[in-house]
Amino acid sequence: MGLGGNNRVPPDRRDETSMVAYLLGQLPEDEAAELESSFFLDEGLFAALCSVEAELIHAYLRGELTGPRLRRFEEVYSGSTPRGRRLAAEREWFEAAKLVSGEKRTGGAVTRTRWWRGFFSTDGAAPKFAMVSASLIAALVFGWLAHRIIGVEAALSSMRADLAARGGTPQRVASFVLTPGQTRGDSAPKRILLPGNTALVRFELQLDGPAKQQAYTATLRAVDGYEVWSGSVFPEKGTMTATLPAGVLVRNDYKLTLEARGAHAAVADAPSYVFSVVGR
Amino acid sequence: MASGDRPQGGMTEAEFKGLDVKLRRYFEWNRCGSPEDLAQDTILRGLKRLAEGQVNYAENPYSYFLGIARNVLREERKKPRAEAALDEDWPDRRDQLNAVQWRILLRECLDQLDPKERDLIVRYTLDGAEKAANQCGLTQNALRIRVSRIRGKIALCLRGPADSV
Repeated sequence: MGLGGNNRVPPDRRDETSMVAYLLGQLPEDEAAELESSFFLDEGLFAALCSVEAELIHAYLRGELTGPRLRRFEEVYSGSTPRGRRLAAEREWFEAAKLVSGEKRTGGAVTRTRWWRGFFSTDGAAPKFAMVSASLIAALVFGWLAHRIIGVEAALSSMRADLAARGGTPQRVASFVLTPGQTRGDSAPKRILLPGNTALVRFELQLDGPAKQQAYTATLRAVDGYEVWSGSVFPEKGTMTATLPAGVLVRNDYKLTLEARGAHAAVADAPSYVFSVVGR
Repeated sequence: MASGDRPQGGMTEAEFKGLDVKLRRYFEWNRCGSPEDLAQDTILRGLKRLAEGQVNYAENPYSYFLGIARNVLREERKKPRAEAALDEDWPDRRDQLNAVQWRILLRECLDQLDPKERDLIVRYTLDGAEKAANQCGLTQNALRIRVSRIRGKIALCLRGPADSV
């Protein structure tokens, strides 16, 4: 029910029904315009709409969407569109939550095994009862091991399937090498022309010497200081790679700075990279 | 632009960031290919008009920029669709590796949460809002507010943008 589809709508879920219709592009134009006007003015409504979208995506990932709603969802949240990328991001959340949840359930099985140990008693117990108890405990232990193995295999299969799916979805990637330390005062920044239909831009960030952190947060700002993108980068063999959606880049000058992950200010001697996007 | 300063249009930097988040979602929900570009275009047009002396007639500045965004959306829909990708596209193995690293990072951030918060957000994600709210004895609205705060904490941990609500 709920996000999966429901013909009888209680009064308190009318708003959620309208929100789901809006997200799937099925709300009449005038109602959609009214909703948009409302969420621009009402922070609570905007947050609720974002939550409803996340819940809709989770319902899809749980396999709860069916029929026309499922078809419409897959049409809207398809491929390398922004909505498709949001689905991919939520899928990562979902898989991470499953991993955490799976470990919690496994911890419970260990507790039940210890509780059964009380039956293994040699103090006046008949041999037959001892054998039955020992067999039962052995069966439980083997069952727990099989459950762990199945759980790990399921997680690995899911990750392999994801990797295979990504392998079947080619994306246009434009790669550039950036060297640190260029400023507008030193020499002209690197000029970048993005090929048409570029979906992703990969910057190979060269380093002067070994990396001082195990992970950085890379922040890309336009020349006016406006932040357009940030993400985690990890040093690997003297270089780091930042991959970002091409859509965030327009004709402008940009500066990419690095911060130690978790910090809220740039590391004093962390490298920065300057470049200009001259066209697409 | 320092936080708390009031530039033209009467909006602080924090308000502009909030506006940008809403504009990106607005264009994304209207199925535009580059919501970030269109949001930036909208803000720049609005600032340009204000700098040229146009008065912000809307009660709320956000309404003013929504009006501009509607025009930008109309123009975007009139444009011819982008051409399909060329055949020489190739699968990006580095992005596949980064996706796995990203998932590991997400899990590490979940592990850093208070156990009750972690349990709440895992139930919300895997069981759905209604079931999780019943299990936790909360209304759905209260649950969503808590989840939003928890995801904000995780976003800080990941040092990602605050618009991943």
